[in-house]
Amino acid sequence: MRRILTICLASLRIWIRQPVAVVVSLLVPVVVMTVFGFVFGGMSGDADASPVRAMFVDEDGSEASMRLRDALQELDGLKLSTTQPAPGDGEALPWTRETALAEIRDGGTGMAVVVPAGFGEHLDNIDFTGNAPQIELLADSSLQIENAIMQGMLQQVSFMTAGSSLASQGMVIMGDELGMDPAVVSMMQGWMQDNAVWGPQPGGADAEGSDPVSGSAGDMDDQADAGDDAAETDNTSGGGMTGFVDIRVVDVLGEEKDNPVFSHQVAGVLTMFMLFTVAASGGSLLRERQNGTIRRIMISATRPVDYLLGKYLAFFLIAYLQTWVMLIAGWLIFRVDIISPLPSLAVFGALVALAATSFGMVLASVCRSVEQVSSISTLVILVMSSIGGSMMPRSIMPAAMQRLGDFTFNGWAMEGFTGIFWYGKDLSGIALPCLVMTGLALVLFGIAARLFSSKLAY
Amino acid sequence: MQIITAENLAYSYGQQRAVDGVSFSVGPGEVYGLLGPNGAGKTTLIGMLASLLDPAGGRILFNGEDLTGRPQLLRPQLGVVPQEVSLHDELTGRENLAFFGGLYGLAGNTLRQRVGEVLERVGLLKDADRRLGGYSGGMKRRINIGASLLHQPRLLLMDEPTVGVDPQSRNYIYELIAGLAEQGTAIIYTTHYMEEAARLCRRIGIMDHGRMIAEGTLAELLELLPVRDLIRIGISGAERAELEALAAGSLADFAPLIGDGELTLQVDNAGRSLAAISAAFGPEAARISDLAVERASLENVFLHLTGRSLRED
Repeated sequence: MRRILTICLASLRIWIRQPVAVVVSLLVPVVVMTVFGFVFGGMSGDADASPVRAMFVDEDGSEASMRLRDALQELDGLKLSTTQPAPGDGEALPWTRETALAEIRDGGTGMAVVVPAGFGEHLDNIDFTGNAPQIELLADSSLQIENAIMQGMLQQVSFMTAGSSLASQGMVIMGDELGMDPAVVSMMQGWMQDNAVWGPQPGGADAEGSDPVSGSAGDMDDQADAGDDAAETDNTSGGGMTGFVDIRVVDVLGEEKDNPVFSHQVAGVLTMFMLFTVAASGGSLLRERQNGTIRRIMISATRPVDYLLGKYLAFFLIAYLQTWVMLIAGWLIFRVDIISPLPSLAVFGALVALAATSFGMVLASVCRSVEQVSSISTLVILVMSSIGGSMMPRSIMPAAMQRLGDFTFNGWAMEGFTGIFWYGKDLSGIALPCLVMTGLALVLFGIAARLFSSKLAY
Repeated sequence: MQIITAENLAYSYGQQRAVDGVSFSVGPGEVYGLLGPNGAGKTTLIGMLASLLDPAGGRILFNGEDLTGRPQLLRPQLGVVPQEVSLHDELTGRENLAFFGGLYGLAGNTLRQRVGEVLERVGLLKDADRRLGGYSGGMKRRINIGASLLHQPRLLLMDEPTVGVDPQSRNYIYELIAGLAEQGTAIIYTTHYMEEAARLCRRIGIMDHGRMIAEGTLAELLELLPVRDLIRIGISGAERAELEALAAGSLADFAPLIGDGELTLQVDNAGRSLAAISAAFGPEAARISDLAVERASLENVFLHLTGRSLRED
């Protein structure tokens, strides 16, 4: 044990006496995190390459809500879930507001479209005085891009599906204002409904009907000439005219939190730079091997495992120190909350640091020179960081890339840190990332120890 | 009893036989030199003695006990000064010594005391708290030696410890070694500098191509030579043909070697031979431009035994 501590203390002392290494480990990540945080803090965009996922909660049960649902399901780029996962052989139940909220808070599907009771009736009796029918979008506000896309989609479909009701009412009002013959107004209502210029037909996606964006003024003239053939309007029927609804966004998770991008940046940069630091530490192992120091240490009757454990302990402590420097900097600069989840951060941060240290030692054991460690680690770490979500949220990556991220160190580290920072989970809530990190720490250290033992000879 | 005895040690790197049946022993207070050119197998032999390499054959006895393949028993008894300066530049001299002392199980006041003693012994007490990166090469070498002395080993293995060292530090190291020997430490000292071996070592083993080709005191090794002295005579304006004629003629008894404008005569004793040489030259003696006498050395012994110079590479 004393030898382990001797080696550990000497390694720490050597590290602290290398200003470049200390600056790279502690100061550069803080700078990068700050820059990335301010650069991406206001990022919004629609560069989504994978389907946006959302739940649909129908509290209204009207034709209008069903039309809305059907229109949403028609959209490319949206995966709409109307029912909860079926338990075993049981029946899949529709989403409710409560179950949708729970799903969002648990870090599952991040959005829910809620059509409140009375939506259809409100839509059929709209008075155009600004009191628009409302749809609620319950959202995890950390999914900024997805939220913006979803709102755009909702506006699009509400435009399409609410059109018939609004058009009908609009025609009546216009007819009153202009003193038009009610029969003509009725005919026009019927024509618009029949042609479904802007919206899907009643009955949803499978109904025959014109393309939502087809139709022209010529069609309207033909219908007017047909006269008696116009169908009686039904204010609640489908078919489309233009219209809009109010979309009220409810931030499910972010009411008491600051910009979610900051917490993502803290976790992402922390993970990435921790890997760089331990890779550099691994390089120091190679340096000692090259200059004969390891050989000398072995001559002193120090067991190879003592040497490795001493080094491992030193590298872990450096990585863990870096973790806390980053977290404290995130707290001071971006007000990321590290106080309330302190115990979880302490444990998960330690597990991540252990796994990262093992990764660094594996690198040192397979590489033959310090230069090799440097080049290979740069490549591996940057790739893992990109795919794993350290640089940008995985939710905006293509589905295939998101799945690949599950095979990266960064992916699991981000999963755990995001769970703590954003979803307020404790260790039991991030049990799987904890297990993965523990497994990585043990397995990778075992590999490194085995590979190193053959290299610790003369 | 001998501190260490090597019996028929052998080691191979693949097909290459690096050490082939080497045997020798070293007693307490003795400085034993291992002399040989690069690639002779000296470092490999040291590696086996330090238990870093498992011998492919033979055995190692320490104080009469066979400790072959038992490194945990052998290593605490040894101090090894490697050829490279294997220390940490970021640590001070004192911290480097404390680090290695800690690895040998020293701690607390004992460690502090030993570190102080060693610093004084290697003459670096006043520079102890400077970082090693700021030391001269000679100073680093001294700390390199000091790191092997902390646990007071009974046997010290020194692998070319003065390579690249300035003359002042080198002399310091020689005095250090002499002092250790006086205190009873057995020392195995490898070098390819014959002057070092001649100066420091009571007995010398000469290695070449993995084998011990000669062993003994300096006097015993020089006895292997047919001659003791070399007289180098420069003759002004002499062509090669002329030198060859002289070598084949009156100077033939002195086994002359022909050089560039000079002859090298090999004799048992230069002092006693000068008169005969002068007589053999005859009137040509007036053309002698310079004359130098060299004592036969280990270099000559190696040349005699192998046909190659110790410093050919």
